[in-house]
Parts: sequence; structure tokens; C-alpha cells
Amino acid sequence: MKSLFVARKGRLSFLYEKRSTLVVAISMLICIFSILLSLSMGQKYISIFKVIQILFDGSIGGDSLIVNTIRLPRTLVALFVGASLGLSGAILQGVVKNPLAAPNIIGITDSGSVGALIFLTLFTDPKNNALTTSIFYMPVFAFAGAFAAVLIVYLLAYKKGVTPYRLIMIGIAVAGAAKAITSILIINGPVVFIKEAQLWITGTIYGTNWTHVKLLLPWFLVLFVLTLIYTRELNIQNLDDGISVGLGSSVEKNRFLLMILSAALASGAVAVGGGISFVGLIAPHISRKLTNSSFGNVLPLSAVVGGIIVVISDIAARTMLFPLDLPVGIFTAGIGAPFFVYLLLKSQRALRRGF
Amino acid sequence: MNISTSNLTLGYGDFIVLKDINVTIPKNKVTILVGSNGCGKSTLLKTMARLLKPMSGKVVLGDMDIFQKPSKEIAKELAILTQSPDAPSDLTVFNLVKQGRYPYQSWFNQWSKEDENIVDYALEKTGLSDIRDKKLSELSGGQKQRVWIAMTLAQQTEIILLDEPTNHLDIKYKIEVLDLLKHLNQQENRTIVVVLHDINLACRYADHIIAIKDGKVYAEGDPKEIVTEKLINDVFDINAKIIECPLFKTPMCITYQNLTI
Repeated sequence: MKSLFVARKGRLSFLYEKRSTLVVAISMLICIFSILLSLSMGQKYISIFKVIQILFDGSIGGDSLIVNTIRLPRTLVALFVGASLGLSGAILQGVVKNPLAAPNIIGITDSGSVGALIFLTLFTDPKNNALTTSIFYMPVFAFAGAFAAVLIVYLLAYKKGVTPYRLIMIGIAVAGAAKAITSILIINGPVVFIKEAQLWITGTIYGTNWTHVKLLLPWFLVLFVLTLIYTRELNIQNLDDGISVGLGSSVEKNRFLLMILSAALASGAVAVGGGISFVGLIAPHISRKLTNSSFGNVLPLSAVVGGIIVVISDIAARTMLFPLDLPVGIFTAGIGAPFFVYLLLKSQRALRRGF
Repeated sequence: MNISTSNLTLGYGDFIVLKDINVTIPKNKVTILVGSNGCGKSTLLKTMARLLKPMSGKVVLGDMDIFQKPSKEIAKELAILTQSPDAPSDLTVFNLVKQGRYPYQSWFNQWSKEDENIVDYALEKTGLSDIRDKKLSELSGGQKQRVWIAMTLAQQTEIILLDEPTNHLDIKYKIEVLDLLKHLNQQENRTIVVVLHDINLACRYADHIIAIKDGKVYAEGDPKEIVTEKLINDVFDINAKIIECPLFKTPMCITYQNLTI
């Protein structure tokens, strides 16, 4: 079998598709390049070679300060927010067997917004236009909101088990309700917080620092490893339920666990980056187009592609209308949506040619 | 491994489809379930494969109630192919067939030598070895159905249940699929249970027919003995004349509503 690569040792055994592994490797190189690019671009241009030198030598100086304390944490946040969203979307699309599913469709993003806005409502002091507590607690509220949404969706969809169809329908309803609450909170909130709220809803990683990296990185890594362990189950979930049960899979249990994984990843990303849209939808799509629907390929690739999208979008957000620092969410949608359309058109053309 | 049902009552909500069913599937034979639309033959098959819970009664696999057994253990003894299953169309033949090894694998043991050999065997048996890297979207209906059968073969079970495996297939592929099932039964002594619409094909391929009517087993046995004009009339609500098939010497039904058209 030329197209496959098998690794066996004792009772351990794994199977990789050579071509897909190559795609993952190349996309990781592109990812590293986009990180370096992000570190080099900004108000002060620092050449990529200088950036590499700073990263490895740790030399001290003005450029080192810019790279290490401003650009690197922000870039890493972009990377892991994107990776979390990409991975979350990939899992969700497998669980509900629908390639159009995304974290925001089942209400994760909108409910995260509700959490963030509740925080702003509770802790904004309208008299002097300031927060009465640290802005660092906002992610906690956003996370709680996002995670609560998933539990509500799951419980409402539960009727002797959960069908993908019910999950989507109830998810859309919960997302709608969350949007309504968001509007009420914005309309009735103090004027000062409207801008803050709107920024958050669009999705921004402006001003993120090492604390955010330290929160997000371990969260992502643990969930990523768990997801890889569950790859097999996800491949089974993607088949008809009857076939999955016939193969001996505990379909309901795994569906619940995978939804929790997806929700936890998206909640972490939403807590730090706000309502960044489109990444959870298109990263898995691009990954499937580059390889195939086997989740052994789609999962790692979605994380890498999601990371690349947000890192590059953030470069654009920081530099295109400088000195304006725009919310990155504008660009994930701005870059993502046309690219998505391009992919769809291209695959249609390929189909017509009979490939 | 034997499979049988005892006082099985099946239904949805308050609606009872089948009542007090007691059947024993003959070992190493081809059994075909027949009956009119909505008679519950698919429901019975799914329940025997633990996909549906009965309202009362038991399905006994070996010497155990199937709902008491760990699902993965069942998957090593009994495989089910549901009606017209769906899978992402960009998966390759190999991607899908290898899922049949799921009950034997774990997250750290994903592709043993045994898995490899058995998937190779399943592909060869179903004539798919040459197109193993093709995507499902590129296959004909008959090939697709063979892929699913190969997946159930990779499960290496003694019993294989199939729900209308010839549905939506051209006649050529219908025969191809049924020939393959008969071959698996004769060469490898597998117990095969099929739900089939076509009574003539059922007579040709079955060692044992179970005819279902009004929530009960109307008759069961060798098609040569039980398929009569009365049975066709009662079970399918249509007139029939039975002749002997000139090729296979099995009963052949010529069905009609009126003798004048």
C-alpha cells in the first residue's frame, strides 16, 4: 500500500495517509511563516531574520521588547483562538453530520456574548465610565455563557437520546434567544459600554497579553490531545447512527463527550477572542478539501488552518488601516467568506469536469 | 452462534407493530424476511441487531439477552447493514471498509497486522481491491453497496443482517449483491439474514423464509414448501400463480390483480 504509512510497535499501531500527512506538514510550515510575518509587521517593521534572532537569542533591546511583550503574545492568542475554533467546528460538523455546522450555529458564540455583556452590565460604573473590577474577569463570564448554552441545547434536544437534527434546530433557537438578550443588554446598558460590547461581539484580540496565552494554551493543548484520542469515535459518528451502533460504538455517550469537547474549545476561544466568526465553519471545510473527510486528517489540519486564518486576519486588522486597530472578526469574515465561495465554486467546476 | 427471539413485542410509542414473535434463525443458512410494506420486517431485523429496544420479550444471541451484552462484543458476532446508509462522499473505499475493524481496535491500537489482513480480505471478497483508493462519489450504486458489505465483512462476524441491500439497485447489481451473499454463506458458513421485497428473488436465494403478516409470523420454512398461492395472496394481498423456476427449480410467482388487463 503505497499511499499509506503504518507505525506498529508491540500493541501500539497507527495508520497515516502519506499524502494527508504531507499536507499537514506543509500547512504547519505555512503556519510558522505566518507567525513570523505577524511578529515582523506592525507600526515598526522588524525583518523576519531579526525576529528569528530575537526569538532564539533573547537579545534585549527595543525590537525585542516589541516582539516579546507585544506581538508574540497577541500572535499566540490569535493562533490558539483560531486553532480552537477550527477544531471545535470540525468536531461539531462530525457530530451533527452536517458540514454547515459551526460553533456559532448552535449558540456557543452568541451565549458567550451574553456572558460578556452581563459582565459589562454588572461591573460598569456609569458615573465615571469605568469598570469597577478588572477586565480580566470578562473571559470567565464569556466562558460560562458559552458553556451554559451547550448544556441547555443538549438538555432541550434530549428525548431518549439526541439526534443531530434536533441539536441543530434547538441550537439555532438558543442562538436566537441569546442574540435577543444581547440586544436588550446593549440597548439598556450605559452608553460607554456600547463600543466595548460591539468590539467584543465582532471578535477582537486587541490588547491581549501573556496572561491570556497562559489561560488559553494549556486549555487548548489538553482538549487537543483528548480530541485526537476521540478521532476514531468521530469517524464513526459521521456515519449513520444505525451503522455506528452496529459497529459497537456507544453513540449517545460519545456524541455527548464530543459535543462537550467542541463546546469547551469554542468557549475558550470565545472567552479570549470574542465572537470571531467564520473560522469554525471554513477551517474544517478547507481541511476536507485538501485531504478527505477522514477525521485523522481533518482534525489536526483544521486546528492549523484555523490558526493560520486568525493570525493572518490579525496582521491585516493591525496594519491595513493603521493606526486604526480593527477587530480581527471583521477580517476572518472578510477573508474567510470570499475564500469559502471560491472553494465552493472551484469544487463545483471540478465536479462538472468529472473529477 | 445462534440468534433467536422469545415473545418479542415491538412497536413505536403506543403502536404495536409485531406481537409475541418467536423465531429461531437457522445457523449457517440464508434466511429472508418477506412481507408487505410496513409489516415490521425491518423493525424485527433492527431489533435483532440491538438498534431498537423491544417493548417486551428478548433477543437471544448465543445464550445471552442481546441487551445485556456489551455492544462491542456483539459487533464481533453480529454485523448489521441498515437500509441505504449514508457516508461522506469523499471518503475512499478503504477509509470506509476499515471502519468495520472498529470493535477490535482502541485509540492506541488503530491498525494491527490482523486489521490489515482482514480489510484486504474483505476488499478482495467483494471485488473492490482494484478501486480501494477511489472515492465513494465515483462509484456506481452496486459498487457502493459492495463497499458497505465489505465493511460488515471486515467485522468478521458469523452472523450478518442486511436490511433491503438491493434497494434502488439495477437488476444486474441486485443479482450481483445476492450472489455475493449466497457465496459468503456457502463458502464461509456465515449465517445471513436479509429483508427483501422481491418474493421471487427471496425464493431463489433463501434456505429459509419468514413471512410476516398482521404483526405475526404467518409462515416460515423452506420456500419450496411454504410458498403457495394462498401465502402470496394472504401476505401480499395479490393473486398469484406459482410455477417452478426453469433455472433454479425454486418457486416462481406470477402475480396479477385481474386476469383481464
